[in-house]
Amino acid sequence: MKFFRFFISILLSGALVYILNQKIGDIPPLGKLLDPFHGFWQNAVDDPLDIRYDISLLQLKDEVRIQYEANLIPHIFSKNDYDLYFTQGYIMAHHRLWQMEFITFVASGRISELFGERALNYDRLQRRKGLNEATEKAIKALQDHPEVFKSVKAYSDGVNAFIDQLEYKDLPLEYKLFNYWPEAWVPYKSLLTQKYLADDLNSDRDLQNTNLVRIFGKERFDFLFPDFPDEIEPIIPVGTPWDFEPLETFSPDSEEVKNAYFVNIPDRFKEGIGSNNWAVSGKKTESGHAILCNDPHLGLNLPMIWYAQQLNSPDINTFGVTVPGVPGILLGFNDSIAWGATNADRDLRDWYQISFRDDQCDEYQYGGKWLKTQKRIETIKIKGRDDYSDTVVYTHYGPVVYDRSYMGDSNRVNFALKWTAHNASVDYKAFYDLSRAQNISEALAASSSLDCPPQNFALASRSGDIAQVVQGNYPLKWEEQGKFIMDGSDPNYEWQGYIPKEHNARIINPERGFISSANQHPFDSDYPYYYHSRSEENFRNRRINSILSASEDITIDDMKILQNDNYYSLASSILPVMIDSLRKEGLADEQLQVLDLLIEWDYMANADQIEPSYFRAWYKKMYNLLWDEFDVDVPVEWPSDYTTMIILTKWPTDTAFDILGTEDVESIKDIITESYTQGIDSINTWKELNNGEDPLWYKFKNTHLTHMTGIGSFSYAQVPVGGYSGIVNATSGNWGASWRMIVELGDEIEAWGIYPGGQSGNPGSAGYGTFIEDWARGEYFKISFWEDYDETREGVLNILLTKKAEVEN
Amino acid sequence: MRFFIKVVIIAAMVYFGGPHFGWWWIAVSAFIGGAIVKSSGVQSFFAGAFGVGLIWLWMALRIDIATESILTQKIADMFSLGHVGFIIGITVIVGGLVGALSCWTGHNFRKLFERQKRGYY
Repeated sequence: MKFFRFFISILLSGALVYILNQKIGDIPPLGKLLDPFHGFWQNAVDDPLDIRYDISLLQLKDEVRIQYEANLIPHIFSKNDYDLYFTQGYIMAHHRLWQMEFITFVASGRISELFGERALNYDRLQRRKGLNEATEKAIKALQDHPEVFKSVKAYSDGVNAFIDQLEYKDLPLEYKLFNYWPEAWVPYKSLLTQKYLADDLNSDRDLQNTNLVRIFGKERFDFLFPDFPDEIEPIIPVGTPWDFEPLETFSPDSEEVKNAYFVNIPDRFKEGIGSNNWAVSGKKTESGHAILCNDPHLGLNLPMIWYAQQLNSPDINTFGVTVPGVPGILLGFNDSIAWGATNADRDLRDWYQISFRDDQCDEYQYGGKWLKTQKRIETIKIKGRDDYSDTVVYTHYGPVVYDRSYMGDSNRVNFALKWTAHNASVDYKAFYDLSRAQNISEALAASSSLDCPPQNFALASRSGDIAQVVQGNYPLKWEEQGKFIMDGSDPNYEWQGYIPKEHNARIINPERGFISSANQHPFDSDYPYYYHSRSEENFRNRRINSILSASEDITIDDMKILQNDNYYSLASSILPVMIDSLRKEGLADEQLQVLDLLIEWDYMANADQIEPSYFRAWYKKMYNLLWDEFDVDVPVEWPSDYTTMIILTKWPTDTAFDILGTEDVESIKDIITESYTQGIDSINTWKELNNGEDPLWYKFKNTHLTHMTGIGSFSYAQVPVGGYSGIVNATSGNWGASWRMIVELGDEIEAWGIYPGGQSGNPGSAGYGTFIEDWARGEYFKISFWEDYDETREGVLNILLTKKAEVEN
Repeated sequence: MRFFIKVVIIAAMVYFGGPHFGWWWIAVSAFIGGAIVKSSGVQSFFAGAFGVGLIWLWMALRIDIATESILTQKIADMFSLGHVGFIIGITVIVGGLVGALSCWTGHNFRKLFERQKRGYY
């Protein structure tokens, strides 16, 4: 009996301990997680600045000093570059280890390992896009620059030094929740992170374009999606002469789109992707010194994609932000120059239809011959299931992304992807060199190492120069090449090389005293190479330029105001027409009141106004009625806000106004009037769902900062911030100004910055969301930029790292 | 009295050993406490629950108060529990249940070696 009782009791307690040690479905291992000595409790931090690096850092070559500001911004002072990047890696792992590793999982298609089968299709797409293979090439290419590669290696050593001394209780919270352990970091992962950015910033719409032409015809397509609309305001001002002899391009006779394919491609629509940067020369500023400003607009996730720090060694002194996982500084300044970047996307990805010889896909047709394919087996580990093996077929163009086994709806669907991100490039070197550049010409030269993702670099120097260069590796194409799916068996459709970097558009010290870019057209149609993009901005650029043109004696405060400018250009150009066309007879009292509000509106989209909510609701319904013909069951792109504005203001009798499926032919007045009622109804529905609250703009548009896993309680919703897509303060639902920076390059550099997040990636630390409130209010922190280490500096935490691991606090 | 000694022994082991071993240390502590101090099975069960539960309650409360619930609240929301009290409660219940079963197991282990007192020969 007593044996039986013992047997039962040990079985019960053993089973309980076992179960509580396992992740079951989405429930984390509760025993481990709830243990106050090791579990999530240990991630709760009472003082974010209580930092102890009390471990043996054997790899260090010399002693390193770190000074932490109260907002957790570290200033690293080292005696050599190895120690500098090593320490940067170590600190980054301390604050952002989970995030930096998770980004590499996302980029390389490995999230099924964490989330199970539901992520499989995503992982397959990531792998089929060929980023892993591209990163392998990039690593080889960077090794030809040993000094540069050394920094990536040192960073990697630093990350690993941190990982090696980790105990379970110190693991970042997300590892505990999803029950896994960080892997060793390798230089490969740093470069993969850059490829991830190239993927994130790309806006290729070739497959959608192909569908559009099939549905609407080429003429209509060209009308609604022109490469160069009338009256653009490009980065390089219209009329700037080109001082180079362009390369010839060959154009084949037949350019017709041969086929249209209705495929289930995942349609990623991003609102408000883009960025602003500008620099004003000393002749337009109060201080007489150049000022550079930058605010890249990216997905608003937590932990935020940026981390701020100063790096100081005998070789370099620079401050700025980088993406966790990427060594050095991506956007920032040093003691001589400042640089900022905006996305300079163009059609960098083209799709070729491949004709395989048979189902084996071993050979494909090309120029009357059969070429051999290569196959890469991608093994995807899936949580709770057997591994999945995906065979990706490679052609000389690149990987066949869509085929019978992936998303293809018929045997005709075999689309190979050619993409500049696949090339062996040394993009990282551009930023390594930029942070060391001493003047504008060195900075321009440094930027030319960047291939992908191309960026518009704004540059300014202490000696007073300003410049803008549209930098990247752009394929050399004939007119409209690659705008649609191309025939992969015809060699005529090959890219014809690349536009020489020295032919990339640039402008140095222009007459008007400022340079600016906001993802608009880089130039007008007289640029001697074919240009096609799908992400052009037409509103922010005008607003920025009109303000900069009109301004004199510019101060840093003026620049803060401009970065946070909430003037809604779309509304100001389109609302008068909407109000004009609205049939006022028969409107209910409420509708008339709202109309009065909108008539009086000053077009500002500030956080606590209600007019932008009413405008947006009306506009959205109007947009949907206007472009109802785009509501088809294949992926297509819908016309831009700019095109919508053009149609409304200049083409009031366009066929777009007719609503499909009705007997009548609707007019602009019908559309506007119908959508007005719908818009107000949708606001009233919103009110009902929100306890009758006023539809304040920030609540209505709901700018949210979402934790990368989507866990709601680690996220912030309805952040009280104004602006929207197409507004200088381009902060929409989940995209927005991810890092605002202003640098005045005087004798002493004065710089300000802010981002919507915090230095710590730990949701259990006050450092997780430090800057969010100030960011929303349009405020900044003053950037401390120090010549050298000073022990007497006040208000900082001093940490000494030595080779022998003695620690001073 | 024995009950009290048992609770103290388990609590001390959990408190001082906790930081150095994995979370399973609570099971070991309660088992040892159950095995070395003689008492009834029911008493062992509750001594294990209290020994572990009290220390986990104390630790959880201390952290929660020191950090002003910064993370406790988020974890409570993540599990849709709303109030931090529930997370502290679940922590204590999980620890206490493991402690209770392990201590009872320890008690049953001790029984295996206890001599039978009843002599019927």
